Amino acid sequence: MTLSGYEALFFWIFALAAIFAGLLTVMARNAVHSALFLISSLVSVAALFVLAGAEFIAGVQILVYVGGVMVLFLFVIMLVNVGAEEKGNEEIFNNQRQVAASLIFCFLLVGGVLYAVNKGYSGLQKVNPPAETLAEQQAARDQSHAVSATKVSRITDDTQRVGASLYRYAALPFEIASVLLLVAIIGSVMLARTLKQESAADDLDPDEPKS
Amino acid sequence: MYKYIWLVPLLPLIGAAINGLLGRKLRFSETVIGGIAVGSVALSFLISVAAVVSYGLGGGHAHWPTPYLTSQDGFSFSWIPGGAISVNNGASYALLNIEWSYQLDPLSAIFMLIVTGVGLCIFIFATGYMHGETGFYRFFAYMGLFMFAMLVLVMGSNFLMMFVGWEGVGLCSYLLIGYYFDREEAANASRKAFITNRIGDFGFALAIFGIIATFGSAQYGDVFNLAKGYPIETLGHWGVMSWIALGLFIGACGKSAQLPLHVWLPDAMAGPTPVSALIHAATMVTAGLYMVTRTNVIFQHSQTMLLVVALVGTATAIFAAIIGITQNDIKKVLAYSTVSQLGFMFMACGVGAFAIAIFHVMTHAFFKALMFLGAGSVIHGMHHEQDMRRMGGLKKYMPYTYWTFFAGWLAICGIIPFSGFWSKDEILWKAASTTYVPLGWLVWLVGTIAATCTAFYMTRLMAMTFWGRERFLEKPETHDIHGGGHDHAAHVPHESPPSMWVPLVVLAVLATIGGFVGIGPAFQAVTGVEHPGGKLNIVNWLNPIIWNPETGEFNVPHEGEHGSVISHTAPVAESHGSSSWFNLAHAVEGVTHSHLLTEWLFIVISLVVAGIGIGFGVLFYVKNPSLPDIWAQRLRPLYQASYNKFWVDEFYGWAVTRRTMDAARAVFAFDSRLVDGIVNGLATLSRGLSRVVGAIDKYFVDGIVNTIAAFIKRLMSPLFRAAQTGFTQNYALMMVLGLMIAVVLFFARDIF
Amino acid sequence: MLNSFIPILALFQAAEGGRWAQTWQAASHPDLSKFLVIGALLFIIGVAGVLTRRNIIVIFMSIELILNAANLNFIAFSRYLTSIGNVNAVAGQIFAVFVIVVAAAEAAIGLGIVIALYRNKETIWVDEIDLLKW
Repeated sequence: MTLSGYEALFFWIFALAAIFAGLLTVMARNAVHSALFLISSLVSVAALFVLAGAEFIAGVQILVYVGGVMVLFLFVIMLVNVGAEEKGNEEIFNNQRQVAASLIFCFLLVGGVLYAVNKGYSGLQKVNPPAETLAEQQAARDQSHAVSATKVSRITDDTQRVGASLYRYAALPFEIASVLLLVAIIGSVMLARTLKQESAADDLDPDEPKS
Repeated sequence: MYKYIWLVPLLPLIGAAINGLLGRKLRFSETVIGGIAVGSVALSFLISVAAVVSYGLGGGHAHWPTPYLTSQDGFSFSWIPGGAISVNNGASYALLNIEWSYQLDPLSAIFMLIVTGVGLCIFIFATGYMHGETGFYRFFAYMGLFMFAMLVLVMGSNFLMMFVGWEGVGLCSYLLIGYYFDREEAANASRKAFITNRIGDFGFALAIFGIIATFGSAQYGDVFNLAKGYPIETLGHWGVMSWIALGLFIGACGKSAQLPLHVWLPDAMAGPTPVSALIHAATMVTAGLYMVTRTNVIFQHSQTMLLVVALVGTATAIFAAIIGITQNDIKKVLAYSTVSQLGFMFMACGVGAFAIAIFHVMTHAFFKALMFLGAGSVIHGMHHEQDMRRMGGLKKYMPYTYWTFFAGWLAICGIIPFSGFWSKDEILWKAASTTYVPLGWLVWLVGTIAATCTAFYMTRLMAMTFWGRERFLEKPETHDIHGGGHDHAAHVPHESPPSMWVPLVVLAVLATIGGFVGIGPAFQAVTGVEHPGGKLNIVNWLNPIIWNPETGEFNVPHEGEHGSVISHTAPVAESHGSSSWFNLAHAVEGVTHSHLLTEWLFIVISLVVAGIGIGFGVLFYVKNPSLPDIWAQRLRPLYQASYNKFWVDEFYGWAVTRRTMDAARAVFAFDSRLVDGIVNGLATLSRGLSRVVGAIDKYFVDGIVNTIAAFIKRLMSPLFRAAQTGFTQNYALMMVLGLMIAVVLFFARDIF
Repeated sequence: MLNSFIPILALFQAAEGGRWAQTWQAASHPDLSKFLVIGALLFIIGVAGVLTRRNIIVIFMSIELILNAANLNFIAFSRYLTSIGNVNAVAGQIFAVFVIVVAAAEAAIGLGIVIALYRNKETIWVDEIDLLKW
């Protein structure tokens, strides 16, 4: 699986971009800025997906996640948030104790990551064949793909593989996911209705006083 | 026909059941009720007659005189089958086997005929007498039930059936005496009757237990066959036979109103007059006689008990006769007369003349029932006036009643040729000449005096009721004894309807000619044989059930055809020292040297004393009406004693009733103070204890619990409260922290 | 040349030549472990954002970051398993699809709740929505 050459370079570029964008997401004052940073983070992660050989998932991520979810986020930000921070003097972080506790926790996690890296690195080295062998195997695999029309690149089979699996072995989760999406649609519509909309549909909550 | 005797008790029972259960519900008219009742009894009577004729005199003659049991033809019900009780008495007898089967033998035949025949007359009378009563159906239901019980008593083949009938008639007596249950005196009288009866029943039950224990069976045949072989217990020797006889006699005292259990019979007159006639004159009170005669084997084995029976009978006879002289209620006079005559019957049994006792039962049933019904007719005609002092001169108002009563009066006084003469005379003769028990002369003497008194008070009754001036037309006296405020002057007595006087006529005829079945050996010169009439003579008829101590067997029928006069009064005691007793008859015979003359002498004496009694009665109440008061003053203590019934009831009240109530009060006091005191004390103790425990629980235990709870609360409450910040991100932090810890723990082995 | 752009390498400047070479080798041939570390770091950032920010929307976006990090893990493992020949390697990508689906649904519902909450409480600050305290 080892990437090499330009793939490695792009890996590092996008990795750092993702981390940086994520950091800024969390630290931005304006919610719209947060959303935009998140979009860039997601796009970087999509690029990493491509580098990891999951082109289909990268496409799905861009289309669905960025194109759907983040747009929804932006809509909602516009709905609820616009007047809040224009003054610019609202606190964006919680009280100090909470922040302190969270940061301590996160540093603990970071420490855990470093520890794991240290520990697992040598193990992973032992298990895997050396990098060159892996690179050769990867190259061989790449060569085995069909040649594209322009005769320069190869046509990978990731989508084919995902589709074959998704509709055969993962058919049940697939159906369940579709039901889940249906429920989500109905639920979100119902949750976000105004009183006027509810009374127009004659569906007022009986416990709520008519106002 | 004799095979159908099991129908005889059943038909009155069915009639009673129909009347009792459906009478009110279906609202039968008086005609229907009366018809059912009279019809059932009439059918029973016809079947009884047919049975007796066919078995004793007709087709079944070959088997006479062995008793006929319905179990021979399968009409029996195995009541207590063998195996229930096992008695060891040395004999080869197996287990006790009690069945419900009827027996037809000489004694039960006579009683069947008396009960159903006289009962029929009384039933017919009652349909007229009880006319207009609201409880008409109830009356006939009880009467039918009584007939059933009485017939079971006399037709039963074992002692237990007799006991069932015994109790049944006692019950019906209670029900019928208390027929007017809303009257307090009737209710009291019925209770008194039942309780006094019960005392007798206790003795009877003990005797039955003794019989079963001794003989291993309750069937008459088995018991008497075994009893034959037992040695006779002479005077002074008391053995098992005496014990049994004692128990039996106590029962008889209770049922047949002998001293000292006679107190219920006069009070029983509170019931309707037909009841008095049927139950307390003709049938129930004779149950005791039936029982004594049935068990004559046992009685003859115990000389002491025979003497006791004779003396008690005699005492009762004179006692009741004296009381009867001063009573003013017409029914009370007849009641005491009944007690007195029952005394005569027991007198007869006591001296060994069992057949004569039954003979007197029969004739007494005729004339006493007649006189009770006549009294009923008088009362009915006098519009329910019962005090003789307000009657008088009814002769011309109620001729049928008068002439029938006349026949009864002559019969009871013992005037020849009426029925009473034959039986009473034989009794006195047998008393005088008995060799069964000592003191026969005393029995004869007292009996003769009692007969005199009987004649006297019966003449008094006739005079006060039917002869003389009509006192009911005069103004009533200042102190009112009876009668509820109606104007006597307005009521003129009337004769009763035919439904009432026709039975009177029938009974009068019987009272007149009924004695001819018992013409005694004294008239041998006229009749040619000792007991004329062959099998129909009462003595011959009953011989098979009378045990002969001389032969050790029951008498052979037709025994009186041959043999000497004295042979049937076979002296049991000749071999047992009776020659040392004074025998009046023998003494007189020693003077006259002729047996026949002796007998005739005694007959003449009894006729003379009867005449004396009648003469005095006429003198006192017809010729010179002031004499009774003069003599009452002269003999004041005796008069008072007689008028107050010798204060027996008062004595019982003091000795028994009040002492029992005192004992009850004492026991109640003990129970309420001591026992209840203990119980209440325990309750109070428990309550106090519970209060202590409650206090401990409330203050001590709850104190501990509350303190610990408060401590924990003070400790932990702020902590837990502080955790509920409501701030989502705190919760999120906790969740993530927990997740991290969980992951570390989960992978602990791989990580470390 | 790229080494100077990778700040983390500065930590290993003081190491020996062998170690430096090894590090350079590791850096220039990123394999599974690099992907996992990147994913972990994204995860940590997301967690920090969830726990510290006051704005509800930003919290939601941090949650999306977390989910994304998990996706990266799945994909990395999928690529790794393919490279060592495991037949179930594509399961990682399948799972990533479902994660995206769930994330989308959850975002929709959550934002619906946010809108309803905003309509009632007129606030998006999390620390002002604290009714469930004692």
